[in-house]
Amino acid sequence: MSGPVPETTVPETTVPETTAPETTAPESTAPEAAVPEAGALGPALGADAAASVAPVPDADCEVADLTIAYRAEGTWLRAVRDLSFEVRPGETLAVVGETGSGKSSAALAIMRLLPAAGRVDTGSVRVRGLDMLSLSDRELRQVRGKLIGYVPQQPSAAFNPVMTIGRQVAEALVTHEGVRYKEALTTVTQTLTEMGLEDPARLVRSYPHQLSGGMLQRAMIASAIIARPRLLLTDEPTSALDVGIQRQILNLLKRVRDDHGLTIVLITHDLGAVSQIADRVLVLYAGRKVEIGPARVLLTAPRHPYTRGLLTSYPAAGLAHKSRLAALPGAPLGPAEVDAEQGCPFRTRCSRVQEVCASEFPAASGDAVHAWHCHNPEPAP
Amino acid sequence: MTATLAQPVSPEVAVPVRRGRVAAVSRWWPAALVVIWVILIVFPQVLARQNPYTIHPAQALLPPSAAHWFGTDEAGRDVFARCVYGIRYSVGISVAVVFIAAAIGSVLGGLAGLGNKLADNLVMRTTDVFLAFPYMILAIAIAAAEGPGLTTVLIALTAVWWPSYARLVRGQILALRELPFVEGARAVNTPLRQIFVRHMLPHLAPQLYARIAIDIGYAILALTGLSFLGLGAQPPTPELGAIIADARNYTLQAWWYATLPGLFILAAVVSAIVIGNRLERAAGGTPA
Amino acid sequence: MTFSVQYVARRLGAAVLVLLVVITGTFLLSHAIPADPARAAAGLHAGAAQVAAVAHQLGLDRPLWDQYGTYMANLLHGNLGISYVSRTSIEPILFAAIPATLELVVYSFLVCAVFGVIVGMAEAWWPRKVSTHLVRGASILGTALPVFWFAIILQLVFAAHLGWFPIVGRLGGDTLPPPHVTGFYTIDALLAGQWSTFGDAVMHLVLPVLSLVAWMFALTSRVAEKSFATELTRPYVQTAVARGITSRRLLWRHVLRNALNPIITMLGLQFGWLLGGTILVEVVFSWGGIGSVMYTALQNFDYPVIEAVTLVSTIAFVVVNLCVDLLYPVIDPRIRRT
Repeated sequence: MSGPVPETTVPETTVPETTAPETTAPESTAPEAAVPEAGALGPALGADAAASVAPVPDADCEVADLTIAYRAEGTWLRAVRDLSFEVRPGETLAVVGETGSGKSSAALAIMRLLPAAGRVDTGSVRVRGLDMLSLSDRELRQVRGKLIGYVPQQPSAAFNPVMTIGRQVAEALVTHEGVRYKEALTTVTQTLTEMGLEDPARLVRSYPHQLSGGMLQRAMIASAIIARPRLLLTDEPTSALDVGIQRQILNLLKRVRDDHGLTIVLITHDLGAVSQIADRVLVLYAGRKVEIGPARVLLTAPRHPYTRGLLTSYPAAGLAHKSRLAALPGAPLGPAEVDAEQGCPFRTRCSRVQEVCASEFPAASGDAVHAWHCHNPEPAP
Repeated sequence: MTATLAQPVSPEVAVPVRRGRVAAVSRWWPAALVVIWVILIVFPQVLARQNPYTIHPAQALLPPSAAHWFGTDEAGRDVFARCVYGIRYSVGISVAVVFIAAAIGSVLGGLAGLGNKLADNLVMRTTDVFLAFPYMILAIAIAAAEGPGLTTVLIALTAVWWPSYARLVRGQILALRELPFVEGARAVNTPLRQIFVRHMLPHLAPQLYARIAIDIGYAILALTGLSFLGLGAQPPTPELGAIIADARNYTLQAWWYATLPGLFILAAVVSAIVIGNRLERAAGGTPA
Repeated sequence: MTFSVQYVARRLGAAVLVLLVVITGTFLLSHAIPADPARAAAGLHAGAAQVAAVAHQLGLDRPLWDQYGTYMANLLHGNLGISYVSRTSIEPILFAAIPATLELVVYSFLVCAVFGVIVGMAEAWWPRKVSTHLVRGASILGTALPVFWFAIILQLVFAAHLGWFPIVGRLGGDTLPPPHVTGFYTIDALLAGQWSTFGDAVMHLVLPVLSLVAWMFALTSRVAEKSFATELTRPYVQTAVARGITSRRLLWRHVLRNALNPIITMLGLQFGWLLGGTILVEVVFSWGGIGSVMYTALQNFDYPVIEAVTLVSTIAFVVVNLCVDLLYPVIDPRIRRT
């Protein structure tokens, strides 16, 4: 897959509209157009003192009772409710769910990267003991990129189209180590080679539109780990890629994880990826945690009906295949319904639904290794 | 209990937020403005209580008073009345200019968008040439060539304005052409004119109206500018640009003469922009 | 940074073609359309015989083709014709006037562009609800201002009434212009070390520049704000923030370049409006640039001068638009190979 930088531009991004002047008269100005809400990332105020650090944490990441809400039509609707889980050092936790399940929000919240329309209502997030939600802006900046790395969806859109790959991959290093770009170049080329990319010297001078999807994803991973973070958040790292490439990227992630001792949180809806790389799996539905446990167990003998439903269209471990939820009857809930739901949100599509499911969200059953939230779980194997 | 713990951090845009109170106001303002202006133009006597043409040499250059709200000019005429009558020309001709330009531009733009490559190229190159001129300069050149007067200015400004409509309409048509329902209509050999009128115009019209409204505002500015240079209305026709130009000679003695009439222009243009923005929002876009 | 030669060649070719048509169009405007240019030249009170004589003298009785040929030939030699009024060559008048206009235009443009972009950026980054509405309201007012009227008001209030700035002209009555290097009084004065002349020139520039900027600034900042706001929604912003960069780096290194495209397009257009507005401002402030020259020509029906000024300003506009077109590949590497 890694080859020399192609000569032709790969049309993954649309070229912006440039054109000769269209009007002789100026465009209108508005008294009150829609005002985009941009959060103020103003200079960090306050003392340099780090937030409270708990001694020697057992987990790299602890999320407790996290509730995330988004603003929609004048009110705040909860997208993630009472989510609790932890990520142990060195493990790969897959967070699985369909679109709208809140998995991306949870990951963003860990880094406090929620868009301005989102906010954390309750709960706590600790990374290596650091209370993420109470960090100042400056402290946050020190954590991002350095302690936590982030690999976003769709690398073709996530790279700045007018900056060279080299500068973007080096950015975390330049920001956190205080080195100049030139000094960082050796590390950059080394990392790119490590990612399996050929001719890194040329790559660093290339622009994102000149690379293929697979190459971009490798470069993106490079940019996320270059400052040697401890925790890596990857958001759907394979969904924008061809099937063949997906496997390679996952293998790359495994290799990187083993080489650098990373803890990975993998957001995905692809069970194939889960089977390839995950140690444990957290299943979300409509913003609630429904099951968590070892990957092997969940992929063969899940206890929650939703997890089982996910598996029904998944043929066998080892094949990269996107699970299809069309097998489940009914449709996912909308945001307002998700927020208003008192009981279990899956009840509208569940074959094992009971009366109690409508009024009460099930408490956790199982143990510390494998837990599920269901009033009427699948029978144990 | 929803206590916000985390500050929004990523500057990603979310749902556009409207301030309720202001949004409500913006709903009826534009309609009211249209009504006010129509009344003003059709019945200037309502606002102007004096005759704008009668000369009273003895009362030249009087400051604003209860009798003469904007004072008098060098010939003793009531400035306010002249402004009211004058703005009618400004608004009237601007409206005419923009509508004619929009009509010509739409037709030509339609031809370009719907016709063959030759038609397209022809129209586009023509607009290129017209747009190559700085718009005021072109208007001045045309007006100078034709000889000053309001009709000249009408012609000049129309010539300046039509290309942008041609481009707008053509662009929209090119985009609409690809849509399935248009393809469907063409597949059953619907005549082009029908496609244009029945299928495309309903989409185009709202945008066009918004643009027209705003352009009227800018046309007023251009028109008064041309009059200021002496190319527009000739005396004794009151036209705001010409009034201000005359007033320049007396600025130091009669400051009101040169400054107050401008408020009319401002009011007219602001109204046009507000109306245009409202139309634009109704058409579904955010005002540019 | 390799450019596509094709792209440049095409833009250049298009520009040259447009110029040719513009020149022809200008010729027609001055020679084919006016009712009786010979009469204008001879003066309104001239008798028929005198008009005929003048017509012959100025070559106005020759067929149009012929006149066109002479016109083009003259142009190639840099000959812009002869003024009907002064009966002298136009080029010296024009070229003496151009630096004055240029100085005004360049400063207005720079102020508007730089501040417009910065304010737009700030507005997009910190959309404070109250101030945004204020700024929006001010924006509408700004674009609704008739330039000439605003210039008169500024002149009245700040010059005539408060006396903070001079009323007309480029320099005070008893100040000599600095030795000519660029034609810009400000630059030339600095180069010659004439501080007081420099100060005087600046003071004279303030009000005219302000008149022009007030009108354009609103639009520039609006376009800039919209562009920045759109860019800030793009995924790469989130990715960059996730690396822990400062907001300053984010705005200046990441977002700015991406946001520039529509801003530059707008600035290119604005140059055209600037040229029109400059004429009005020059009239109000008796600036002595080509706007003032044009005004005088208009009042005297001096067609050759009108034609010459039209030509010169249009050529400038075409050149500026060409530069804008050539600027896009510089900013955005994706456009380079088209």
